[in-house]
Amino acid sequence: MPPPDLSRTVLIVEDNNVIREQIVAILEMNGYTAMAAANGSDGLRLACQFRPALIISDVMMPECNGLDMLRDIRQNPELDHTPVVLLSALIATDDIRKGLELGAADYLIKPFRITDLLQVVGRHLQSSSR
Amino acid sequence: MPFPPTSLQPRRPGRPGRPRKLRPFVVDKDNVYETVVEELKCVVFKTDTEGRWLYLSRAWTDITGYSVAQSTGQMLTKFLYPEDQDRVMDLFQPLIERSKEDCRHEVRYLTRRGGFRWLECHARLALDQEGQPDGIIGTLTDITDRKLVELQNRNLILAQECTADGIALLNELGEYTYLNQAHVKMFGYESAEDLLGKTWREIYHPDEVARIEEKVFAALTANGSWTGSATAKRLDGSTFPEELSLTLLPNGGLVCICRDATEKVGAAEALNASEARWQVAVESIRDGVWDADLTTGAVHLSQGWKALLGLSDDQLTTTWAELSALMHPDDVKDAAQTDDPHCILKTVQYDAEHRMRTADGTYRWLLVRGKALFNDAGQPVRMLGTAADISDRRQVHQQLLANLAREKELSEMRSQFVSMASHELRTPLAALTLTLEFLASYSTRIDATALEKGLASANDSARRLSSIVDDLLLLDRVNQGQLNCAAVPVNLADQIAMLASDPYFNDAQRKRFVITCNPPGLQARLDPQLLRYMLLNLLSNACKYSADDAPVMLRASQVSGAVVLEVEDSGIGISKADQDRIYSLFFRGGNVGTTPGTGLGLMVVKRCVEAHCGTITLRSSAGQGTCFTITIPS
Repeated sequence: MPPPDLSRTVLIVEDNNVIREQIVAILEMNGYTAMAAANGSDGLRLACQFRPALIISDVMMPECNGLDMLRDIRQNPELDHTPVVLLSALIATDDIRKGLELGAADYLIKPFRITDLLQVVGRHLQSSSR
Repeated sequence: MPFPPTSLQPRRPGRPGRPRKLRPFVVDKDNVYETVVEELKCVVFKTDTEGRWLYLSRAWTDITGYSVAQSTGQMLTKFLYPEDQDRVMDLFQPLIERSKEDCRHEVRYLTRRGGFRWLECHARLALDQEGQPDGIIGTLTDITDRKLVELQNRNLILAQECTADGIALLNELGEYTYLNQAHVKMFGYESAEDLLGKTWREIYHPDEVARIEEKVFAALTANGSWTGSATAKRLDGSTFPEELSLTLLPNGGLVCICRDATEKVGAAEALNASEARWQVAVESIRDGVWDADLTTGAVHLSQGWKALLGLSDDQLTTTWAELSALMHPDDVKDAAQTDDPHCILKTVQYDAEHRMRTADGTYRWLLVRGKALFNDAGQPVRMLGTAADISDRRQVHQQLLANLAREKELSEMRSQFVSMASHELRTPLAALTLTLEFLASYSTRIDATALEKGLASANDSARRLSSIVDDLLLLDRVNQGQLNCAAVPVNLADQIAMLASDPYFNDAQRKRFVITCNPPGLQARLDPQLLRYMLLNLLSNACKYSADDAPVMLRASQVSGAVVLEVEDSGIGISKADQDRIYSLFFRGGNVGTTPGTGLGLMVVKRCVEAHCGTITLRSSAGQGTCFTITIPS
């Protein structure tokens, strides 16, 4: 099995099984390499191990949530340039604002459409590969 | 002492033809005179026509201190008090002019010690044998003591006339023998003559005379004196209040000192009236009035305090310390308005709300206000104030504050709920729409297995959505009191097995459940739908608030006929402080962080348990996990 093309590798951190699996399937259908974790601490571990080109993370998760993970990523010199896109069902703009302050590159509000997802992924992978 | 040669004393020349044997007698007689003269208390003197002392008896020295030897030959004027010198010579002049036989006057003679003595002088002209004046002879009597008494009496009388008090002397018949001017004027007369010789009964009303004779004279006879008030009558018939002091004299007469008390009585009456009005005001108001002596700490309380605190009459006179002891311990510091509870006695203005203990041991809220009064030195010496019962107002106030706080909390909880509900609904909605879009978009590129999996996912998401909507609807029923329990016999083990595989949970969660049912075929009468709500919520919480791989225990058993369901996790736990409120609407533990949740679940669980007439308890400590126990009677 060839090693994954890390420049097109996306890490998905999401506690909802359906959403997580659907995102993985959609990205793979579109030629990306996707890996997934169900909470922040697992996500951080995978990120450190595989250095994905983009991280898509839910905000509200049990244990380590998306914002905690984002903070840890920004404090890790090997990951601090990895763009992070937040997924949130929150209508409250507070968490989005907090996420952007912590260095999130973008956000998607649930429910979102496949085209929205692919657009965001495409945009941030292009900019990070440049 | 022999007569000096120049003495004016009639010589006693030898009488011719007088038998010689008589001479010793004459001489003896002279000696007797001389002895008598020298022993006299008064001075016997003789001067020459110029006014020089020719003779002075020994009493001169006794009275003035000057020796006879040094005085003899000196001008008598030298020994006179300067003011009296001219007068004495004027007094002697008629004698010298022989217009008077003798004279009597009172003059002051100097004493050797620098003072003077009053001497009464009886003098007459001395004639020689030819009948010509050859000096003055006479006596000087020391009347200093008498003069001093006279002077004192004169001052006394002057004082009596000057004083505003009326002074009168009455004889044993009750007739005035002396009245000073003040007394005369007080009764409206012109001069003392108008009253002298009249009896006191004329200047008092007959009724007052009767009273005085009956009551006052009895006391006067018994004690020798009497002091009191009377109503006196003026010449014009008007009356006035009089302060009277009577003293019985040994001769049966009376000394009467009186004073017009009109103004004093008026002032006293005004003061009494003012005091009475104040008292009525103080005692009639519902508030308590307090009066503290800041120097002693003594406090007087008005009748109002009886209603305020249920104090008895003898508790109305108290001390600050005793009063402070009635204060609610929590309020003592506030009440004192300083750290020292007795410092109130040093404050200028006092204004505080605090609780005080009533006779029945309960506390009332009082608004206590006071103001200090200062002495001339600027020291606060007294504090006067009021105390009003504000318990009702305070209660309303507290209730209002509590309501406001509750309202604010509810508002925050609602806002949080909306946010949570949004999350809870949007997540399965997002999953559903994403799945359906995926199936639609990639239908040509996915195999049958992927299609089947996608449809199952869509189904799960739809059921999850439905389940959340059910919860919200259930909550609405709970809030409207419409939660009915439709209990039917169920096999508990089967029910639990079905719930554990509910699509509400994901696979990872299902794997964590450790279920025991004892006995395995446990039967119970329960409402299956309410049982589902209870267990789904408890299991879901146990999963959410513990580690992803930690087991979640579900135990069903029967104890004394009751069904006991326990859900236990090893998660974050619930702090003691939160345990009381954990079943409240929208309440979430302080340690949940960003874990999703609506704050509805446990409230729903509790209502479902109560619908079964059961109880729910919890055993938990933060960081140690939680165990909920539901007990449902058979």
